[in-house]
This record gives sequence, C-alpha cells and structure tokens, in this order.
Amino acid sequence: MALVHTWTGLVLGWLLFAMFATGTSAYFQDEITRWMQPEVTGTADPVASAQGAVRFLQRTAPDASFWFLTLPNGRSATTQAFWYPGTGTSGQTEAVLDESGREVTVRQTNGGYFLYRFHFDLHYLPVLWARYLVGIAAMFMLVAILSGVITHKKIFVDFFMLRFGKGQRSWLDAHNVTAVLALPFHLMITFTGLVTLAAMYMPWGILANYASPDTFQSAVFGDPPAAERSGRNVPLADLAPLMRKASAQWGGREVGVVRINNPGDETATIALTRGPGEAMGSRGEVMVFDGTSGRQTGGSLPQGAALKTESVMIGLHSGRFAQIALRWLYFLSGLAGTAMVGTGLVLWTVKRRQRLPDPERPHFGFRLVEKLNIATIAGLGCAIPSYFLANRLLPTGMAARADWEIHTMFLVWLGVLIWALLRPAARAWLEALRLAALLFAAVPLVNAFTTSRGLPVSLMRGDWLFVAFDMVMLSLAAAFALAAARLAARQRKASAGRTMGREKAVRA
Amino acid sequence: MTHVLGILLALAGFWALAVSMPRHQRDLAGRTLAKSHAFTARWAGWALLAAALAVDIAGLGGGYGLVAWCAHLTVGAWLTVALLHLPKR
Repeated sequence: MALVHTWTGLVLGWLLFAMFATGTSAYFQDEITRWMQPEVTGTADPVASAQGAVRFLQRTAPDASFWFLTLPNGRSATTQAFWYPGTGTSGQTEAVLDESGREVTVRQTNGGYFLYRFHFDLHYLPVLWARYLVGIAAMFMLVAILSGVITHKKIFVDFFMLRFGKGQRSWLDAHNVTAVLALPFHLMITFTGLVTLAAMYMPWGILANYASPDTFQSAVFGDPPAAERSGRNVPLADLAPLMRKASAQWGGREVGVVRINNPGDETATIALTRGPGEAMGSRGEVMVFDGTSGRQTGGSLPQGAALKTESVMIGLHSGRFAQIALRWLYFLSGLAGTAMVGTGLVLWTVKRRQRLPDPERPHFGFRLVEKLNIATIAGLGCAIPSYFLANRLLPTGMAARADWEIHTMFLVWLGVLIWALLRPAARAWLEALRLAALLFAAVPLVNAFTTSRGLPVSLMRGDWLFVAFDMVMLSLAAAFALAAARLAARQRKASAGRTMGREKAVRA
Repeated sequence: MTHVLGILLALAGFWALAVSMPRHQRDLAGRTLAKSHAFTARWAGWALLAAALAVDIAGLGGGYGLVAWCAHLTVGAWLTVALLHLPKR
C-alpha cells in the first residue's frame, strides 16, 4: 500500500499540484476578475444586464445561430457573452459587457475565469485530451488519498503531531497535517471533481439510451433542440418579464444563464437557467420560452434522486453556493490540498536523499523529480503572480492582450523550468522561492502605482475586495520568503557540517 | 457568528481529545493523567464536536450546516495543532 501511495502520488503529482493551486483560486474567480478589471466598479442588475447584452448582440451578431449569456450575480459586475458563428473580420465570438451592454474594452483580460478553466482544461492542449489527462490525474489522486489513509498506520496516534526541525519527520508531519485534518475536503473535492466530467469519461449509459448526447441534454435538462432558421424576421420578446416569471417560479432565485437560439428569427427560443450559486445543487432548473411570443414552451424535468445527487456533488465541488465565510474556508482547504501535494512531492526526494549511494551525485530519476518539483512548486509560485502583474503592466490597448497575459504566465513558468534544469538543485530551489516571494510582493505594489485602487486607498474607502486581494498576495509572498529563509538556514548548517566532516577526515 | 462558534467548539473538542492522549499529556503537563480523567476528556471532546454540528445545523440549515461543520472541524483541528506545538518553538 505504501508503494501504491508513493507512486500514484508522484507520477501525476506535478499536474495535481497545478490543478489544486489554480482550482483553489477559482473559489474567488469572480473576485479575481474584478481585481483584473479595476476600471469596472459597482454592481450590475441581472435583468438590465441581460437587456443590455441583447442590444449589443442585435448590433454585433444579429444572424448568429445562438447567443449565450452568463449574467452578473452579487459577486460579479459584467456579463460574459458568447455567440456562434463569429462576426467581423476577426471572427469575434465573445465579449465582456457592462450593465448597459457596452463592451468592456479598457483592459482585456480573461481574469479569474482563465485560472478556473486551466484547472480542468489546461492550456495549449486540445480540451478533450486535457480533460482525459485531468481525469486520470484525479483518479490517481483518489487512489493516493485512499492508500495514504490505509498506509498511515498511526493516523490517530499522530493526529495532532507537528515536529519542527527534524528533517524527514517534519516533512511527513506537515504532509499529514495538511492531508488528514482536511481529509473530508480532499476526498470530497477529488471524487466530485471526477463527477463533474463523469458523463464524458463514461458516456456509455447515455449512448445506450439516447440517439445522441444532444437528445439526452434536451430530454433531461430542457435545452431546446437547435432548429433551422426560417428566414422570417420577428423581433425577440423582451427578457425582463420572462426573467421575473422564472425567478418567481424558483422561489426568488435569480436567472444566471440565458441561451437564445436563432435570435431575431421566427423560430427563436429563449432558455433561462437558474444561477449556479443560488442553491447548493449547481445544475439549475431551466425554463424555455418561445422567442417571439414569450410563451413558455418547456423546461427541465423535475430532478430525480440520481440527478439531484449529481447536481449537489458538482455544487459541493465548485462551492458557488458558499457565502463569504464558507468561501474562505473552502479557499483555506484548497490551499491545504495544494500544500498536501507539494509536501508529498518534496517528501519523495527527502526520503530518498539519505539512501543515495552518493548524495552529491544523485542518479537521473532523482534529479528529474527534484528539478520538476522546483519547476512546479516554486515555478507556479512565480507564474501566478506574473499573470496578475501582466494584467497591470501590459499596455491596455494592446492587440490580443488577454492572450498575452496568459502567455506571460507560461513564459515565466517555462523560464523557471529552464533555470531549474541549468542550476544545481539546492541553488535553484532557493532562487526560485525568492523570486516567487518577490513577484507576489510586487503585485500590490504595482497595483498601487498603475491604478487608483492601491492598498492605502482601498483601505480608506473600505474596498474590501481589493484589500483582501492585496493581503492574500502579501501573505503568499511572506510564505515563500519564509520557505526560502528556512531553506537557506538549513543549507548553511549542512555546508558547515560538511566542512567540519572534511576537516575531521583530514586530521584523522 | 455561527462560523466563529462552530470553529471554537471544534477547537475545544479537539483540544479535549488531544488532552485525552498520553503523548500530549506528557508534552503539556509533564505527566500522564489518571485513566478516569483521560476518559472524561475523550467523551467531552466527542460531545463538543457533536455540539459544533448541532450549532452549525441550527444556525445555517441542514445541508449548508453540514458542509460548514466539515470545514469547522478542519480549522479547529489545525488550531489545536498550532496551539500544541507553536509555543514549544
């Protein structure tokens, strides 16, 4: 069992670390987006935003086969609009809109949404491959968690143990404290993570019973089937009364998503979905309306036990239902999961270092793991603040700006990988940890110089979202600086020990 | 408010459970407790964790309270670990 735990944890551990870290950030996805759009202030009304988005799309993409709107909730202030096929010379298919339907063009960014998508779609990879890879990693995680519990013989005796300055023992204690004490979260998040993509990993149930996944979707979730445009133009029904009707039907819960098929055509349909954050079950009820008369034509079936379970599991995973206090607890648990994977990866090398025939010249496998650990743990610690710094430092009018924020993050990450490969491991750890601390500390500083919402101002105004963001950046900077300082102290002690050992050998 | 109360109850519960363990008794008091005292501490610990669950469900509702309770247990246990070991450094 110990063997199973060691190797399932290692093989995809680097990917799992990145999934845990970015997935944790996704609990504050909307807040990160708001920080990355400092020009957007205030809150937005979902009904007015939907009407504004419709006005924008009637101008921009009147002939689209569908419009898809993610409306603002209490936490966000902008509408995400997608449509198909693309319009204009660039084939534009998406836009970020404010309440009145004007495109937010000041500082193009994918915001917290990118980090959220990365944790299961990765980047620069076909989405399908990425999701299979992520699913395999999550399966390994599940095996590692279960085998970890079984192999941890003193789970109750060592429950509260944390010994400092004892090398391998301390790493093991830290691994246990982050893993065992947050075990309900880790088990839940790993299992429900697999559930979110279960229909993709195991499509056979649907394939055996439905002609295609689309018929399953419209039968069970009420998505209107796509129809051909008739070519006869009829104005779209006003969304406001439909949204009010849906909200009343759902006991006051707001509409979160609007999908309009064949807008402006006689065959138009309007599907309204309850917002995912309005209840613990994230799969919202759907109401479908005729797009011209506004008459209700259908909707989702009442959910049976299996669908309700699935919906609540996905809801538990994404935590959209959580109010601010519980949201912070989710975030802390996610950090613990990230630390669990990180300490586990480091433990693999710490445990084997003493057993190496020559610790000065480790074999290839050991060196590879050590370098990948640096590139992943310290590397992502450099990459994430770089994403935020790019948001503040790239010229606001730059072409493909949102993409370049992302490229910056990966370029920095790649840079740390190359650095780790070129330098001796002990030096590379120290340098990369210090760089991560510097970059995290630079975020609030650069924010204060490039926007009018720096920490002193936001403190005075009571702009708690910006205060909290800057404080989290400073805390992460402190954590990386502390790690670097302790590592430096240990290295000094170790090299002093080695010199003494050599002197003794010379004297003898 | 419920969150604070839930975390405090979980902390008290885990603290009592730690006190019921001979290893931590030696660390904290330099000696082990009498068996009957350790027994009392253990039951008090479990009772406090159950009380945290009751408070969370009463304050936050069934499903939401249960999720919050899991989080409160985790934070309570971390605080116990911190209180046990940080003063020693």
